Amino acid sequence: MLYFLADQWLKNGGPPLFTYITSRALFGFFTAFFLSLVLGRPIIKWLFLKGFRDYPRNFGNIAVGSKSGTPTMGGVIVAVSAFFSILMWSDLTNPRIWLILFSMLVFGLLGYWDDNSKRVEKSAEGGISRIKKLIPQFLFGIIMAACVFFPEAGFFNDDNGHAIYIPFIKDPIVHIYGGIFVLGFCWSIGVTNAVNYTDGLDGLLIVPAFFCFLVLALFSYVHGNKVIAEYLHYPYFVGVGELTVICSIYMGCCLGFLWFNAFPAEVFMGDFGSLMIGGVLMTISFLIREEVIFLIVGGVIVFEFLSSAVQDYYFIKLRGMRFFRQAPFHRSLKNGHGIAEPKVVVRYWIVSAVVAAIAIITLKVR
Amino acid sequence: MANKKTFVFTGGGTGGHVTPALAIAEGIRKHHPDAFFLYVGVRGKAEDGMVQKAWKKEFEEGKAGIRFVRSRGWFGVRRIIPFAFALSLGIFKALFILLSARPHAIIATGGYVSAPIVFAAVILRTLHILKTKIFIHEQNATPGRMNKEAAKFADCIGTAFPGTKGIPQGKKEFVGYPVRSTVVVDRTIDKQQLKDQAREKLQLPQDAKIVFAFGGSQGARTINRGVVAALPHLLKDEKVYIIHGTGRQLAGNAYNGMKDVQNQLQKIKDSLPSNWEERYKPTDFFYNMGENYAASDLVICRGGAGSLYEICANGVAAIAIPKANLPGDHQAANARSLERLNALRVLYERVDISQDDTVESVDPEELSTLVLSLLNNPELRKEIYQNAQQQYEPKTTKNCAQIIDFLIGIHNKPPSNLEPKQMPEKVLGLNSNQLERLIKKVRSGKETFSEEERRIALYKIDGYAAQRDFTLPARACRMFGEGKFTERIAVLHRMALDTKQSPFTRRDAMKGLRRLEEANDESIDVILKALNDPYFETVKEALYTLKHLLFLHRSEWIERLPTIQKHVVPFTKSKIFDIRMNSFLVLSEIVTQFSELQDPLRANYFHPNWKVRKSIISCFSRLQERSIMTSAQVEEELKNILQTSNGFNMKFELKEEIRETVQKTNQKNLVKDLHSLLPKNPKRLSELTEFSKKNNIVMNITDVLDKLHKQET
Repeated sequence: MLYFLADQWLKNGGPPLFTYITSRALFGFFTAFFLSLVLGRPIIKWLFLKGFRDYPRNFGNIAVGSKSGTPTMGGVIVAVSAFFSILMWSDLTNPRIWLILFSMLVFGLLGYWDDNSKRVEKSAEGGISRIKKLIPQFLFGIIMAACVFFPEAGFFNDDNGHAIYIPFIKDPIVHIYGGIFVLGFCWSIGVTNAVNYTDGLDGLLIVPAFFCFLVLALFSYVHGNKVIAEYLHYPYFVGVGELTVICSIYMGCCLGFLWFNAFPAEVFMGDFGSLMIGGVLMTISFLIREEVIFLIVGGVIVFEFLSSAVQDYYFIKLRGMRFFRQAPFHRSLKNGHGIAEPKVVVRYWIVSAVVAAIAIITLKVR
Repeated sequence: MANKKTFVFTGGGTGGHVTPALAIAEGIRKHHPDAFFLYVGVRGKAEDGMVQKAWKKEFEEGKAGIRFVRSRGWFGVRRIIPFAFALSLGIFKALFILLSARPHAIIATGGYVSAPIVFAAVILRTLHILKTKIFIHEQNATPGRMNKEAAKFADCIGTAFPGTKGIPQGKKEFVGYPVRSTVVVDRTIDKQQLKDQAREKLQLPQDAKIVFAFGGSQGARTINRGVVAALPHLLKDEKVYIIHGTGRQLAGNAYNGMKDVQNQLQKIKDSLPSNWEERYKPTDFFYNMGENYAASDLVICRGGAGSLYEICANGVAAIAIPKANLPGDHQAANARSLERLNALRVLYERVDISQDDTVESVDPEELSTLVLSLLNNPELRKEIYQNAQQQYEPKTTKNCAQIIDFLIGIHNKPPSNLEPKQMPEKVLGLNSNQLERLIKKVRSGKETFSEEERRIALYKIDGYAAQRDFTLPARACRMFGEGKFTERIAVLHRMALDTKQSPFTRRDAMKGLRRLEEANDESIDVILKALNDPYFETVKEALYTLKHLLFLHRSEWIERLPTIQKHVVPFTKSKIFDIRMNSFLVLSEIVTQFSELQDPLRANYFHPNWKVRKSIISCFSRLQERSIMTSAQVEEELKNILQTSNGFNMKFELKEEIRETVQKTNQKNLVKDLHSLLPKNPKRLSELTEFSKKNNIVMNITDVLDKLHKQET
């Protein structure tokens, strides 16, 4: 909205400041951050009153160390502040923005469905089944792939829509054509579930997600800027730069949410938050054709997912034994090795900062 | 003819679902001589042959027909695709069958065979294309999967056993088991007369005590082997005669009853009395079941609904040996339902794995004692068979026909049968998870088991232990321990060392031994062998079990302590920290001097994992308890241990405040309760003590009581 006004103002002789991607990204970041700080507390109260919380079993026997009763579905804070900031600062004529908003809607609703059924059942076991989660994830993946595959959708005019890029190599290593659909739904299911699995301790997901958005912001800026793209030997995608704004808005949201979610948490993001953040991350990395970079920068998330999947589907189901003491891996550290929660979380942050740095280094080496 | 009615029958897969359908059909035929009957089944299953045979005449007269659809049983999520494929094809075809037949009512007797027709009917009904009524008959005391689903849509569900669980109350109608008229016994003839005639025909002496044992047309290994093994005991009584139906080998079935019986007989031949061949007659198939029933004093059979109601119809005392590991334990539930009405005796088989084969068996001694005690007590037998006779309702088929007439609107609602009231069964019908929870409750004293319930629980756990699965045998091991089933200690020993079992099972066998809290000499050997297990959790649990058992029984194993120590010491250098921790704890139970434990402990004073250091400190406290270390020594050692760590318990102060407040109000209520109840009702005292313990009330009850007493006086 503000972008539209600034654009009109520029045409009538106003300053160009508010139309630059970089400046809008910065303004978006601050808007989102302060919005989530302001909205945080009322939303927490609202969630608590609506009953989105873990119920303690017996009030007389309430465990003084347990987190039960904490409001959940705090992803609403992220969603609301991101939504308004996106409306304010992004170029709404760009179809990518609408795909991002659509992914927020789809995965937000899916997460709400899950959280709400947990609320109704009053138990963490009461969530929806895996199959029910898979169907919308699958469908969204197909839609997303169709957007990049068909030039009519306005995302890619050339054959970059089905090209696979990897770090250190200038040209696409392979064109997969129709295979983009398979990649699309695999990517959608894999990443959103991985993010969902990672969300287990206070702040465990939100900071790695922040670093992911940071790196994706950089890469989308590079892809979307003709000069820099040429200089760094990156393909130039018209209109992709707009995603930088989205990424930086989400960075602001992540920090704002961390304000409340830092140990000991006043609010959990719930499946609503984790699925939605996963959905947005997944869509952005797919739209800038940098899946491999995401696998590097989201290394923590990928590892958490793999540890859980390997434990559940290989070791427990097929071998009748455990490989990790508990899965996902953060539970093994916390409960098995007995490392206190804040320490586990901060170590995860450190690792995610390191992998983010590695991902940024690949920017220049090409 | 405009008024001609059409009825669709479905149900099958096994004969047990088909016979009731045919019996109900007979009942309906009496009301509607011109009606058209259509049987829908799966080609090649039991209904294919049985219906062709039973309705031969009607087929010729054009009053009946048979159609086939596709369907498939549910074999777990992994086979969901063939299941969904077969079922959707079946429903599709069933839609056309129903549309062309336009039946007035559908009678379903369960089994996956009935699924396509029932669901197709539900679809057509919701679309208002077809107005048809659905009547379901459930033969077993726990409904099958199909009937449970179908019950949601049916108009009426007839049940055979009193107290059938899991069926919506409003639609339930207790009707009994429909038996075809050809099988029904004429009650007007004197029972004794029938008996004499039958014995004459079978060439058995009139004063003999006759046992008739059979396990269905294919035979049951448990019954065959149990009866043969019990022979030496049974035949000691001169008057005991045994008629034994061993069963026939069917194509595709590995078990040959007759051969098995002959093999078993060879083994025990020498211990039998000389005239045994006269008194024990194994036969593979009977064409004259009625005579056998009539001639015998006691029947031994499986717990299928069909055979149990045949027994009730014929009025004989019987012992049922229900098959284990069936969905919903339906045979056991059937048998129990009659046993609780004192119309039957139940003996539980035990399932066991030996030499790669699951073997079900009954204890021959238990069987022979039960059989002899019943044979020698005619009054008890009479009581039992009279109760059984009462259970058999000869009008069931007529009742069903009346209910169906009521459903299609040409008859008033028939009066409901009185269903004998029964307390719900506590153990049968639970799944393994629920059973484990129940056993934990029993262990902690929140629930209690009667002798009978404990036996049923053990029967179920034995069944789980013999399954080829990862989780069930493991869970069974835990439950053996949790429920203190000391008689199964040998099973735990075997499971712990069986490399063919999953690692989880071996681990949980160790957990079971620990929870059992009892051990014999063999247990120590088993645990020491389990220490070499490749799976780390097994070793960890083995060490912990060893520690716990040593804590309880150290004095009994004094002479074995050096061997144990020798085995455990290498684990103090294990790379897996929990194994290392547990090995310290074991050693702290064994050693007699601190110097023996000094070196391995001191090497770990700076171990990066604080849990290891914590276990060292608990070693010290244990050694101090056993007065091996002095407190000065402990203090000296503690100084050298790294005292910072990664672990802490967090504590929300607000929640602490909440808890205290809640407790205060609880305490107040308690004092009020005491005021109102004491000293009028001293019995409540124990309850109140329990309550205060449960709610963590720290107050000393006796103090309160003293104060109150003083006030009173």
